[in-house]
Amino acid sequence: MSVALRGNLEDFGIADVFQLIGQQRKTGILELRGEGGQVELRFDRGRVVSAAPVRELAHEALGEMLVRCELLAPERLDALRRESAAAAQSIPVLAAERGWVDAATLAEIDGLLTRETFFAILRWRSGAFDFRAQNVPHDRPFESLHGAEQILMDGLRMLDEWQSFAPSVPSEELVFAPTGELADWDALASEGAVAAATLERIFRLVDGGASVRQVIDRSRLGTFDAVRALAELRRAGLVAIAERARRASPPALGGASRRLSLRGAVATAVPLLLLFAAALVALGRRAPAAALPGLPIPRDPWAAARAEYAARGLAHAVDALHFASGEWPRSLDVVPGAGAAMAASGGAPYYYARRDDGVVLLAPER
Amino acid sequence: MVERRRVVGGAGGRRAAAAALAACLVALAAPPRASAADVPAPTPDPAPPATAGATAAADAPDLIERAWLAPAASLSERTLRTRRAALEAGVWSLDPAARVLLSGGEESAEERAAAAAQLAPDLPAARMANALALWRRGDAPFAAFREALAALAAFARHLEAGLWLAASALALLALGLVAGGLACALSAGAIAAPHAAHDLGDALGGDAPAFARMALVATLVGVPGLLGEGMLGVALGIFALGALYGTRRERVALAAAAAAIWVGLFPAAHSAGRCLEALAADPVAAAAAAADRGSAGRVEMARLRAAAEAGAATSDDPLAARVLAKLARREARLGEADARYQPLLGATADPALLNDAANVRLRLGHLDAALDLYERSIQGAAQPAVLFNLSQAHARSFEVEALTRTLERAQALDAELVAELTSVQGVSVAGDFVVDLPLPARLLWERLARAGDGRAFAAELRRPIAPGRLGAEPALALAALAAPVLLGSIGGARIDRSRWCARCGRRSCPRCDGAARDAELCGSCHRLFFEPDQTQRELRVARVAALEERRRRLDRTATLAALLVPGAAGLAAGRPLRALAACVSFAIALGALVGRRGVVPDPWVAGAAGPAALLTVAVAASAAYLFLVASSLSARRSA
Repeated sequence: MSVALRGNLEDFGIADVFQLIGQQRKTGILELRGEGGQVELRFDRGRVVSAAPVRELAHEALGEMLVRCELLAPERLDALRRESAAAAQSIPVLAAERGWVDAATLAEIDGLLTRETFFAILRWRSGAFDFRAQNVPHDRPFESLHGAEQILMDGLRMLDEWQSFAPSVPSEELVFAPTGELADWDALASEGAVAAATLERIFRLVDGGASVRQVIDRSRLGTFDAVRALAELRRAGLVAIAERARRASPPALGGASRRLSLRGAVATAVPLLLLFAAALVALGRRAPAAALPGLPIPRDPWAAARAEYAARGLAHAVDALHFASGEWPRSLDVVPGAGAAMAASGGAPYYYARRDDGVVLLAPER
Repeated sequence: MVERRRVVGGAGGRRAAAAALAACLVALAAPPRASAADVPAPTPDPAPPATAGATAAADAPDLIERAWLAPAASLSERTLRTRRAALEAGVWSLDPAARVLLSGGEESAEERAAAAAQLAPDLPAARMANALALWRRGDAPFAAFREALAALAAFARHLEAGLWLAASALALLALGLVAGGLACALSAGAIAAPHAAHDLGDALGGDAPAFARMALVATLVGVPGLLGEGMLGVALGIFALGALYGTRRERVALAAAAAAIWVGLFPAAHSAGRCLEALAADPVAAAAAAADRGSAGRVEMARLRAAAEAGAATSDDPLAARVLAKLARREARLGEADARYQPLLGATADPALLNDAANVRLRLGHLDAALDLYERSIQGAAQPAVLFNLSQAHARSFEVEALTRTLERAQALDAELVAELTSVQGVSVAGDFVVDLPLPARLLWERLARAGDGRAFAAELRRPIAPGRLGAEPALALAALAAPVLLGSIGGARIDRSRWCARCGRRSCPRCDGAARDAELCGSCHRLFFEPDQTQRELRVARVAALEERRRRLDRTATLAALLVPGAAGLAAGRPLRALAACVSFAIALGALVGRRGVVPDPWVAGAAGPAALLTVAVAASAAYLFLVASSLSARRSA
């Protein structure tokens, strides 16, 4: 893989890079690393195929955009991520296969992502670029692709306009609330540059709860158009800043979800309680039972067997002493193995007695 | 019958290896330091000096004791004389004399060990002591090895030592079977548990997290244990899990594991208990065995007399009468001996009994009756010692041709024994050297097998694992162990089971992922490997590389686990039966190594041969384990 172009945006601006690729009709991938992260733009003979932030998986950014636009649940995106890694298939294809998103919507969101990405990098002040000339497979008609120079021109125009209305919407974390009525729409549409449909769409999304970012994403208009519409609405006094969103709002939970959550809590708690109860029962069983008067004394047959075999060894030792001298030992004290045999019997004494015709040696009674 | 000795000759790699093995066994089996829980070999006064003991010898009532205690010029003379007296009295293995020699004396340890082995060839402790002495001498490693093997073989002939070894070996076998079976079941359950937890959680609904599902499974598995059935109860749940989620091979292995646990808990434990209890349960047989080895004391004699008197009335214990007859002949009370033998002769075909009765008749001068009894004995089984005795009877009647023919026949059967008997006979100044036969080992073993109960021992052995009803009722335990395997096998074929993908290791669930039932691959891997056109080339290449790296990593892990974890090799190779066999082998090897000194103290019969025998078991089990690991690894590589 050959490197065709590499440099810093401070030395060689993004406009210059775009112009060069467009004029030279280059095919390849332009990778940009800057303050907004890492993005990748794909070109086919000088025309822009797609642009998206770089993620671990291919088209993962598109999946994230689908989630932001509330076209795909976050859990489903997680499942698609796993599936994409395992099945070597892209997230959009898998989402379409499962019927979660249709092809038209995917194309729309892909276009939106490209515009958003491009609009974002135009605002970068620093960074590095790296263009690799290589084949860029895609299934879009070449005629439908926009030239790099055209996109650049549009982008620069948008950037100029952005300066004029951006101060009206200083942060994407702000929350706007409606302050006017729908009856004023016609007059407003005729006065401004923003289409009435766009204004109405944004106005309907402003509910005093969603942040600017959420309004932008839900409108699927892109940051530029949505913020411009919001600025127009604010200037007309139809919306106003309500409060600063403290954190991203969680997805609204319906009744079914609440029920699911309750079942989940029960399903989580019950097994744990059962296991805890089982552990208590098991611990209770391990407590030794107190000996009850009147019951037979429990005997340990293994201990008895050990004592019995120790006694046999001792008897053999006594017998050997007798065989050696013709005399039976007077007591077990003179038998060297007696101490150890006593230990084997748990310290219980052996019965030993000499008679005229031999000795009697018995293991301790247990 | 008496142990024969052969001269060792020749050499070779196999023998050298055997000698090395023997060296290891001998070194490991060497008597350990004494501890409070063991009974060390007592050290009575050494053998009487060669020129002392005349008074004691004259006072001794027993001819063996007289022969032992009488003055002698050397140990070899005393040994030969005592051996002759012992053989004449039917004591083929004189244990007390061997113990005296082993405990010390003026002679060298090698001489004493050799004499002990000569006097008590059936005593494993004496034979192993001789083997150790030969080994330490350094110039006869093969003779030492052969003697060590003879020591191990002596366990079969020595009742007390045999019972001690059998009890220890059976207890170890029981522990090995139970531990191996439980380990195998536990591994199968551990593999199945995550799937069971997932599927059970799905069935119950509620979307519980994995740890809660696992807690539910753990609770269900533990229910039989909580009902008082202990570890065996928990094992039932584990068996069910394993059978539900296992393959056909794994189910077969689980059934074998269940059988192993049952055999270990019941028949093996019961047999171990019977061996331990046998001598105490039949004191008459124990006394008979002691008398047969020349070590019957006052208590044993009282038991034999009491049993013989009862036997005369009820005719149900001829063993005591037989032993008393032998003892009477040993103490030269020939009339009493003959009187005790006659009622026993009736229709008996026991060659030993006929031979012993014939010996008495011969001593009493009833030559024809003795010849008749010898012939009857030989008709039952032609034993060289009986033929030797018959030759002596022919000599008594001056039938030289018959004497020669009979002696040749005896030599044809066992020339070494005849040579020994002839040699011992030469020491005798008086004639009439005939030998009694030892009590048939089969007779004593059969009697002790009937006598021992062993249930209390087995119950005590089972108590930590099966304290409930399952431990008390073998049939119920068998049914309880078979049921989960059977029901799990049937149920496993009917439920939609989740399972690990064979390629990527992810859970593949028919409900969650729409995976095909019992498919080995998940949908993703199926697409990746069987529908490559449905994938993106770059992603596929990366994914295949990642899976290959995972496979290599798992291979390394599996190889390491196979070497470190018993049974892991068989499981990794997909050979669960080998995993079970490896677990059992490992448990037996470990048990035999740790418990090489037996489950009860050695009553001074096994000596160093006891640990050597159990270490041999450990070595054999280790070899089996290593073979199973190697074959499993080989199977895994060739798969």
